[in-house]
Amino acid sequence: MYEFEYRPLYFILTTELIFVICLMSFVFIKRIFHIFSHKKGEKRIDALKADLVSRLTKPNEKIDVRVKRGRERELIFVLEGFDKRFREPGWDELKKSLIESYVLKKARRWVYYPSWKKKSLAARSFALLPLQEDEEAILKLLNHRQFLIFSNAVKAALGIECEKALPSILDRMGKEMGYSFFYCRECLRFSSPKMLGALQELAKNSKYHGIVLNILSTLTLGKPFPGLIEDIQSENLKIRSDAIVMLSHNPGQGCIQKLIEMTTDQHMQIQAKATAALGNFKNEETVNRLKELLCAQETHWKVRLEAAMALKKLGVLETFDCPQEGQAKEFADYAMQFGEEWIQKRL
Amino acid sequence: MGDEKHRIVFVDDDEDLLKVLVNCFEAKGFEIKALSTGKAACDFLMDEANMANVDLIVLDRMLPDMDGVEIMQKLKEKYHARFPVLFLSSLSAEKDILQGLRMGAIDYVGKPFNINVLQEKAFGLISRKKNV
Repeated sequence: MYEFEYRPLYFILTTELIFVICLMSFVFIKRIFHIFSHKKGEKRIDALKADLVSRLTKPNEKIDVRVKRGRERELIFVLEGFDKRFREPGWDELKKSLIESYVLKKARRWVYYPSWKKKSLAARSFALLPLQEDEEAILKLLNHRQFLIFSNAVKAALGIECEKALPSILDRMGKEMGYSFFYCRECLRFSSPKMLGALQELAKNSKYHGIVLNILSTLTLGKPFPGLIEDIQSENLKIRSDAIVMLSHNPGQGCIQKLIEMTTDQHMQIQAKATAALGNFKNEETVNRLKELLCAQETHWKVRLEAAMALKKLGVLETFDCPQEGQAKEFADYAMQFGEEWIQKRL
Repeated sequence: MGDEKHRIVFVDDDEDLLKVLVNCFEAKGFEIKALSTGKAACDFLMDEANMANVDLIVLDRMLPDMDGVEIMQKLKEKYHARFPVLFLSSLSAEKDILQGLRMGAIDYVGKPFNINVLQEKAFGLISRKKNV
């Protein structure tokens, strides 16, 4: 009677045990296969690198670069590595010929695949070889929510100087304030003069004005930034700060006076920014004002620190006869000791 | 560049880049010594016997075990700017370039770079050293 009752239980336990053993075997075999294919993949990548090195160092010899069908990912990986090292016609031609031969046609199809991995490969291909005929595909990839795809699409868009891409990039920057924002900002700062000009045009649109001001604030532009005078008097503190930075890099008539006025602003952050900006202009007026800010009793400590660092940057602090005690002396000593590091980090 | 063989020491942990540079410069008639770690570089460069015919040292900044600036410092202490040093680095922000130049490097080339431009800079530095 007991045997009859436990038979189903034995059956279930045995089946489960077999299932677990099969699962573990499957995982183990998959792991072994993965290690094996990874090692083979590394060998293929090493062979590819050796072929590229030979092609680069012996341009007159006919050397075939071996790329297996279905191994485009490895080719893209190796090309990206070499692209970070070299910037010259020989390399650019080699890169172009390899991408056109092995990757480009597939990349144009991958843009429309549902898999994000294929889209990512497409974006990386376009970033390596941005072509005008792929503008539509690049604009499509720019709208993807994955940063991995978006970032490569940004590089590709800036590579072909696509002005239509700028609103998408700026919209994304407006939504994401983290790494994505800083990445796009650096890409845009180092883009071509045509793209910088297009950005300045976009600054006339109030939706993008603040972001464009932030992007271009540390650059010396060829022409006046639209609306800079109004930005200096804006109620938005962030815009005022960025406007001060832009003014210090693009000084016009009366800019020193404006900066000196802003050192008496009601907001401490604006006072500090204006004080730091004065460190770019070495003349009697700015030096006297900085000395006043360093020594005055009512100065906020952040502003005093910026004044000390600005005087150090101008090379005037060493000869300045500052008070023998109090915060002014402390900050002057601090600037003497750490001013170089501070200035280096700000560059 | 004349009949004598000029010797250049390359210090970079990027082996693929070293292969390219070694092949390119050897094809132009240079004798190349390639080192890929900071320790190997220090051991080689601090031995005066090795430095007898060295005309130029090309240093990377980001080595696996130390910063190229530390190697530069040791070279300065031992040889007092006898050997021209050129930094070749992906650290190409203004502050990194200024730091390298202030340490005493003759030039600073950022990556990505043009091989022909690097070669011309190397020839120029070696010629200058010979004239001095």
